[in-house]
Amino acid sequence: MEERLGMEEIAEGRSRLYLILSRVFLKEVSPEFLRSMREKGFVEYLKGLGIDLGEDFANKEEKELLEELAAEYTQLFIAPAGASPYESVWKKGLLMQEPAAEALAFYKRCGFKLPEDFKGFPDQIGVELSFLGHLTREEARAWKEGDERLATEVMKLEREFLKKHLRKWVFDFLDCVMAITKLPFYREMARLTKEFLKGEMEDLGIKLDRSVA
Amino acid sequence: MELTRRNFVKLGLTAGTTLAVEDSLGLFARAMEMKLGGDGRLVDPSEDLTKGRRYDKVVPYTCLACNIEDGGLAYIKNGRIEKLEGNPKHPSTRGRLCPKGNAGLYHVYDPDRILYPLRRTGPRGSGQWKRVSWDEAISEVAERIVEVLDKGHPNEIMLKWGRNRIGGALVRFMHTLGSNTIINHTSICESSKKIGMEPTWGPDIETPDFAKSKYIINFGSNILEAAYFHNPYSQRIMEGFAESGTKLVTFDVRLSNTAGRSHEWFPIFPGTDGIIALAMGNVILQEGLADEEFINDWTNVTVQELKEHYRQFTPEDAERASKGPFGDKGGISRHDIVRIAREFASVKPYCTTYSYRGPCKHAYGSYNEKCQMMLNILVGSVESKGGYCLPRGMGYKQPEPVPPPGHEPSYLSAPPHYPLATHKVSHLVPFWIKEGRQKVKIYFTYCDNPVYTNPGAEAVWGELVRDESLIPFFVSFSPFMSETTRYADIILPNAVYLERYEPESMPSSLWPWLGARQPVVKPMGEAQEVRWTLKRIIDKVDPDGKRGMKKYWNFSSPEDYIRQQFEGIPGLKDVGGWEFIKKHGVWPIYGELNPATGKISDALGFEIKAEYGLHKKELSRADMRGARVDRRTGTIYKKGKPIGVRIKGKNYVGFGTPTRKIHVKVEEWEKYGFNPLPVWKQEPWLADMKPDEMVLTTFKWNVHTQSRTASIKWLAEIVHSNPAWINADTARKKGIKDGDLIRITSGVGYMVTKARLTEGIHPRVVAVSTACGHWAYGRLAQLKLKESQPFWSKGQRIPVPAKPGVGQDPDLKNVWWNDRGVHPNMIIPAIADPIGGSQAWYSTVVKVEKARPGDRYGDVKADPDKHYEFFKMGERYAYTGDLHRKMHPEVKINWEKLPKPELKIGH
Repeated sequence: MEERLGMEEIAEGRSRLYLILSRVFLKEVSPEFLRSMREKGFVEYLKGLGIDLGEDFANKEEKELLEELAAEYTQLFIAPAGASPYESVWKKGLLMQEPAAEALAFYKRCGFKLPEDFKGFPDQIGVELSFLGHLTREEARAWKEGDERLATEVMKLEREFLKKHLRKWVFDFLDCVMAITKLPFYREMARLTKEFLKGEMEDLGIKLDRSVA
Repeated sequence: MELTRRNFVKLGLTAGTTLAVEDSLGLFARAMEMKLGGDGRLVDPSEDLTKGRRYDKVVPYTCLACNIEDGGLAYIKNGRIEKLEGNPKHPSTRGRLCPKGNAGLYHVYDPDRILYPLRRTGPRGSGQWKRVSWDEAISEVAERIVEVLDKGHPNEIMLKWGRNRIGGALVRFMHTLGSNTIINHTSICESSKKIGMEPTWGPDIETPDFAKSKYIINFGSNILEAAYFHNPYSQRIMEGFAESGTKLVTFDVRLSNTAGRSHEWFPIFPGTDGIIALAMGNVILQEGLADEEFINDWTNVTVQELKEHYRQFTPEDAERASKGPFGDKGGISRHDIVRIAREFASVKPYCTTYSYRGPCKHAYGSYNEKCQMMLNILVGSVESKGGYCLPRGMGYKQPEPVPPPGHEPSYLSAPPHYPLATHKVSHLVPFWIKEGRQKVKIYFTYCDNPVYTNPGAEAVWGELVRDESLIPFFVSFSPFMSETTRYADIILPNAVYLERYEPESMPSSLWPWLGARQPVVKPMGEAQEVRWTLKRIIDKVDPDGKRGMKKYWNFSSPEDYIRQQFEGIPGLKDVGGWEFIKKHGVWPIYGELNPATGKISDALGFEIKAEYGLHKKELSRADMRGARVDRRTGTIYKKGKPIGVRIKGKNYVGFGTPTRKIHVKVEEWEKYGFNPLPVWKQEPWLADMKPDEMVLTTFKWNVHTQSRTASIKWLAEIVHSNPAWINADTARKKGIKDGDLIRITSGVGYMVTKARLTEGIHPRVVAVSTACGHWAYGRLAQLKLKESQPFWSKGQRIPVPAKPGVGQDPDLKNVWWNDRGVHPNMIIPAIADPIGGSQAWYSTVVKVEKARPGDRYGDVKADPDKHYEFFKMGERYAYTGDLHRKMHPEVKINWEKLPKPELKIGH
C-alpha cells in the first residue's frame, strides 16, 4: 500500500468512485448493481474502511432486498417530503431553475451531452456526480497521454463544477439523507459521498463552509 | 483504515472496478473532443446557454390555475418558464392574468411534485410508496379493469373528476369501457345555479354586459375577486363604473372586497336572496315598471299571472327574512327593497343581476337562482345592451368515432330520487356506496380532492377511500400528493396545465372564442398527459382490438387529438385551423389591445362592438322550409325539433327551451311536486334555529383556488391562514375578543380556530374561508418543512440541528408565518338541494363559543355516523322523501301520483 500513486491512477480511481456514487443516487439499485456490490468484495472493502452496509445488505434474499432498497429510494428521492436530490430545489426552492440550466450549459461547454430522450433532471445529484466521473476520466486520459496542460485544465473544470454546483448544497443534502433514511445502505453511502467530496474539495482548494463537519 | 483520499482512490481503483455502473457511465456521451485552444485553455466552441437573448420564445396558452380560462403568454428561456403574462389577443381577458395565473409556473416547478408513477407499499394513507415504471403501472391498472369487464359489470369502474377541461377524453375513456359511473364535482360547485337557469332559458350560465350596464344587483357573488369569470368581469365592472356610471348593489352575508367596492352592501341572512328578489319583482310588477310586452311575447306566462303570483312576496316579509329569525341588525329594509327595485327598473333594459354561489348553495338553491334571474326577465333586460345576456360559447369537435354510453344505468351518476339534478349529486356518492346502492371495484380520481373539498372531507370521503372493501382499487391521476391522492393504490403523474394540449372555450365575455392549452415546456420527469395515459390503458385492455375499444383512441399523440378537435371548424379552417390557435392561443382575433383604454380596438381604433339580441335572430326562408308552427305557443318545429318561435308574425330562433320561449313556469318541476313558478323556501333548520346558534358559511380568496394553491409560494405568502370572521357585537356578547381561540360546533363535529372580529358580517353568521388548513398538498400547505428546517420528512422533526445557511428549500427562510389555518369542511354536513342537487354549503347551523380547556388551535373532529344521519335527513327532502310535500303545501297536484323513481342512463 505504500507505492506512490501516479496522477493517472488517482484520476482513474476518483472517476470510478464518482461513477459508483452517481449510480447510487441516480436510480434504484438494480439486480446487476447489487450483485456486483455483493459478489466482488466491495462490501468487505467498505467494511475495512469503516463503512458497514449492514447485515441485511450482505445476506438478505436478493429480491426482497431489492424491493426494500427500491421503496427506500422512492421515499428518499422520488416521493414528496424526502431529501430532494435536485440542486435547484436546495438553492432556489423549485425544480429546474437556473442551476439546472447552468449545469446543462456546463456539460455542453465541456463537450458532453445527455441522451436525447433523457427525462431526468440535469441537476440531479446522480447526474452531477456522473458528470464529475466523466470529467475525471478525461483527466486520467490526459495524464495517460502525457498532456499535462490539458489535465490541468480539466482539473480546473472539476474544481469549478464542484465549487459552483455542489459545494453549497450537497453536504446539507447528504446530511438530510443520513438523518431520514431507515436503511444503512443509503446512510453509509451518503456518508461515503460526503467524506469523498470533502476530500475532493479540500484537495482542489475549495474552501468548505464551516458548517460542514 | 480511514476515509482518506488515498483510500478513496484505492477504493475506486480496486474494488470499484467491478461494479456495474453502466447507467452512470452511459449517461453522458461525448459531443466533441476535449482539447486545448491556442491560449492553452479549453476551447469553448458552443454558445453558453445561460447568456444571450432575454427570452428564447413566447408561447401562448390558456390558463387553468382556476376555471376562468384566461389567455396567457409564457416567456421561455433555456427551456424554463421565466414569467407568465396575459395574452393581449384574448377578447375576454385582454392581456391580464389574475394572481393565481401569474403564479402558475409554481405548479410546474413545485418541489413536491409527483414526477413518476408510484405504487403504494404500506397501508392506505401510510405514505409508503415505490416508484414503478409506466408500463408496470399501466399493466396493473389494465389487469384490474379486465377483471371487472370480464365479469360483465363495467359500471363498477367509477371515475370522478374535479376540474375536467381536457376536451372530452375522460368521458370517452369511461364510455369506451362501457361504464356510465361518471361522477363530477359540480354539486359542490354551482349545480343548482345551472338547474335554476337551464329549464328557464336553455344555457346554464349568463354573460352580463357589465361594462354597458347602468345598474347591477349582485346576489352573493364576490365577482371582483373570486367568482366565475372574475378576471374579465372585474375589468368590465370597473369599465362600467368609469364610463357608464354603473351602480353596483351587493347582497352578501360578508363584506367581501366586491361588497366593499359596491355602492351599497346589504348584509343579509344566508339564503334570503330569493325572497328579496321576489319582493323586488313584486314592486316592479305592481308598480307597472315591468316590460310587459317582453313578458307577454317571450315567456310562457302572462303579466297578469305573474302579478297574481308575485303579490304574496311583500317587501315586509323580505325585510323580516333578510334579518334572520331573530331580527338581527343588518338585512335590508322594506324601503330599500322598494327603492332598489324602482332604480333597477328605471334604467331598463340597461340593467342586470349577477349571482354566483351565494344564493344557489342552499337546500332550495335552484329556486333562489330562478328568483334573481326573474328580475331581468321582468324588466326585459335579457339579451339587451347593458343587460343580462346569453352565454356566447364556441364548440370544438370530438374525434370520430365517439363511443356510445354504457348499456347499464348508474345509480351513482344519475340517482333516481334526484331526477331534476342533471349535473349530478356527486357529494352524496360515498353514502350511496356505503349503503350498497351501487358497487364500485375501481375508483379513478382526476384533478379532484374530495377528501379536502367535499362536505365531510376526511369524515366522509376519507372514510370511503380508506375502506378497501368499498373501494378495492384506487387510482389517482395527479401531479400532487393531495389529501385524496395520498390514499391511492397507484398514482399516475399527470402533466400540469402548462404542459398539456387541451381545447378551450368559455363564455367569459360577449365575444365568443376558441382557444387551447399547449405545452409551454415539456412535462417534467415522467409526467404525461392523462389523455395519453388513458390511451395506453386502453391499448393494454384491448391490445388486438377484439373488445372494440381501440378504434376510439385513434390518435398518435396528444397534439394529434387536439388537432382533430379543431379540424373543419368553419372560419378557423380558412386561417389555418389548429396551427392558427397554436400560434396565437385564441381565435378569432377581433382586434388589437389598446394599452391606453385596456380594450380591444378594431382597425380604425374603435372598440369592437358586441352583438345583442341573439334570441331575436330571424330564421331564414331556408330554415323555414318544411317547418311547422304550433298555433298555441308559436313554436316552430322542423323534423320534430323546435327551431324557433313565431312572435307577431316574425320567425325568431328564440331561446334554448322546448318552446323556444323563456319558461318562467317550469312544468317539469311541478311533475315532481316542486313549484313551477319562482318561489322562496328557507331550509327548516335555519327557520328553527335557537337564539344561541349561528350559521357557518365559507368563502374563497382572490389569490387561491378551493384546494390546489396552498403550496404556491407567491400566493401562500399573501393568504395562508383563515381566522373565522365573526361580527364584533356578536363576539362581545359571547365574550370573544379578536384573536381568541374559539370552538365552532356543528351537528357533526367541531373545529377550533381563531376569531377575527369585524363589523363586515351579518351578526348571525360566522365565515371561515376555504384554501387553508391542509393536512397534505406540500410544504407550504402543511408548513411542515418550516417546523423542521433544514430537513423535513414525513412530518417529523429530524434530530439534526438546524444550521444557518442553506436548508432544503431556501424560500422557507422567508416563511414568516406559523399559521396554516383550519379547514372547515369536516364539520359541514352533506345536504343536497332536492331540485338541483347542489351541496347546501351556506346553511350549517353551529354554536360558537370560546375554546374549552384542552382545545388546541387546529383541532377538527367530526363523527362519520353523524354525517350519515345528516345525509339521511337531507334525503327526506328529495321528491321521494316524507318532508317534500310538507315543504310544498301550495303545489296543487295529485301527490299520490308522483312519478316513480327511475334508474336511467342519462346525466
